[in-house]
Amino acid sequence: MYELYAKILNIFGIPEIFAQMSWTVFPFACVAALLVLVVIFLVLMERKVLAYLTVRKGPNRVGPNGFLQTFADAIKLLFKEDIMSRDANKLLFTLAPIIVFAPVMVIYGLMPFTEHFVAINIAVGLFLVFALSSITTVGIVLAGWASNNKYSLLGGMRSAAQAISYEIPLVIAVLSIAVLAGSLNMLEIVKSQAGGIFSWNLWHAFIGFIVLFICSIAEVNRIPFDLPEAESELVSGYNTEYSGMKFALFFLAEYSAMFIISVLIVTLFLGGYLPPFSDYLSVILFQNILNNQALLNVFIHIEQGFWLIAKTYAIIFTIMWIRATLPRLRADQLMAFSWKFLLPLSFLNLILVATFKLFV
Amino acid sequence: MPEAMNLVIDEKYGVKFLDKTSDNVEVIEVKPDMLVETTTYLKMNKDTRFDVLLSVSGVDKSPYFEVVYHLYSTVFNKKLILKAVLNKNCPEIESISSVYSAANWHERETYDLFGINFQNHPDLERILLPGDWKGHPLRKDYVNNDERLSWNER
Amino acid sequence: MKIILTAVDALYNWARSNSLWPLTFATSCCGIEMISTSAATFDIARFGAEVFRASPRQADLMITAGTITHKMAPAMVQLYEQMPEPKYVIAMGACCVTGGMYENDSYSVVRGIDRLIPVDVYLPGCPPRPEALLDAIIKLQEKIKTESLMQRRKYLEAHKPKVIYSDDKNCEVLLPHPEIEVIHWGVQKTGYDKSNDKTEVESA
Repeated sequence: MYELYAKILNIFGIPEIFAQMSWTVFPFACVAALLVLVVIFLVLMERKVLAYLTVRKGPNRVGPNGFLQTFADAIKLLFKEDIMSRDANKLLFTLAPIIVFAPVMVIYGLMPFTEHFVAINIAVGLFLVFALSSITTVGIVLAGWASNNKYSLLGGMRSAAQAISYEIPLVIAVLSIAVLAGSLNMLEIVKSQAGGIFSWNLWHAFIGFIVLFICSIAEVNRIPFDLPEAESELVSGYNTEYSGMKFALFFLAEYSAMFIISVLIVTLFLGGYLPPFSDYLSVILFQNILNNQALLNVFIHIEQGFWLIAKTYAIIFTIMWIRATLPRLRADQLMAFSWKFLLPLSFLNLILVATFKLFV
Repeated sequence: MPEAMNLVIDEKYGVKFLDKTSDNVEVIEVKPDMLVETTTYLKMNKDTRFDVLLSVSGVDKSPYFEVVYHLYSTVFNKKLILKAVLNKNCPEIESISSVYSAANWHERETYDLFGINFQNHPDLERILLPGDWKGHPLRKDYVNNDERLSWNER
Repeated sequence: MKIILTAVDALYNWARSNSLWPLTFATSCCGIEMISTSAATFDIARFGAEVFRASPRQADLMITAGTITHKMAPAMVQLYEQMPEPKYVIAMGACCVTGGMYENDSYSVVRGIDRLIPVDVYLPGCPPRPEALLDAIIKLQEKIKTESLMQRRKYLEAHKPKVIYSDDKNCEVLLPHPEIEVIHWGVQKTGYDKSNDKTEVESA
């Protein structure tokens, strides 16, 4: 890949050093582009899915089938007046949406989208994912505090309590995956699930999958865990004083976090980019037709991306389905559910997986 | 007198049987200064367990004011209406919010709209109208002279 | 230059009109009709407006559904002022347009919200059917699409009266641009005189 890039730049007469320096930026530019595309689609998908699940039709006037709705929302939010209360802490008020959004962008770089498309491939990838996702909690508490508004403060505090309570079962459930795969590197975890649908981690650690699914919905503040931004209780919680582009950043952060959490679930439990069959479809179908191995590799890459996206959107659809169906949990029910139910369950899962790994 | 009613009330409370409505709800008149004892008796007595206060409202009959209480017994499934006659110049009556806690807001509303003062009420202030409204609108001689009325003129 | 301005205007107006986020401001019976407009049969989501935000800072359309009493009026004006520009108001229901059935005798109802905030679309009905509310939203979308960025600023400057809640009778309304025609005005007249009061009550 790099040779191709260097050759193209060479044709235009640009020196080699420039190609070397800008090549490292290339994955991150791709990640940023992916984030934008994902969110554009996801906002519309959420509205349409919620609408069809409640016997309505979502936005369908804006473009063909409502396709341009997200663009209209984005342009409108861009041009809205930016209000900051006089007594709000200016620096923290402006900084909070950035702190919520930036770690999510970094996590996009850690996920293995195909076998070679991992922007940051390090040995402790899994650990870094959870370290980064805890930073968003700081951003939400800052947003709540810097707004100088009692409802925002309550929302921020509740969100912090919820985030740290649900992170513990999450991490312990993921620990069982690290035990199964024997490594914290994301690519290794995916490769250890090779061999068709029955060797995915889903079957080896089913309780852990349930715990991870529930905890990750809680981490991105989705219904039924969206008490921090609950409309009926807290007038939008930590979001209350934000308007215009800053609010758009919160909005963006929520949808991009939902996508990347789904990618994480798919990578850890559902086999990542691996196909549910024993071998890639491209290999099965095209092995005899194509003799060129490089072209076959291209097809395999495309197919890996396809499997990852298909599984991810299945998980996202389930999350939206849950949003359309369930009511919101109260604050004390939230805490009780995490500490008294999910935490023992995740410990149970860890013990079972460790025993399984030891004796089998 | 009590024998006209299905329920028997002790004579010392001085209640007077007034009427029976078309769906067989009895209306009795109570003395304003014995109101709290009467309602406590009605609530606690095992023959007349009126444990729910449905509403407290006021009526401006031009010579006098009246306060009307609707009671309901979940044990016997009976309703009862109490009326108390007040002096127009000095409309004051005991508050029964110590007996029924539902009376708290109902009495605030009656004070707000009629100006009837409830003694020993924990928190007697206007509830439906803004706090600094002048006058009591449901009185028959009410003239709207609040300054917010200027909002309604061009 | 003019061509570029109108192209930007067109894009900007298209975006704003197709993504009107209402504020949940349902005071009384018209609120039920507003809620049923966002439900299954009369879907308001088709027009891009199903995101009802609870916080005024994120909303750009205020559908005042319901009677506005003298007690509610300061809260409503405060909510209106907290909304960021560009903002629009639909006066839904007869009570918001002229005071409705309370217009003749009531002591506590403000006769129409255009005495307090500037209204863009008036929607009569008691309550208006959900299709009527959708019609009002479509009319508002047409109004937004024919606006221009330059004119909007002048319109905004004309509609920022300073409201003074004071105890003395001689308070007055301050307008920033006296030469611009006032379409709504603020709250207090200069001095309310009781002798002008024509309300009479017959004693029983």
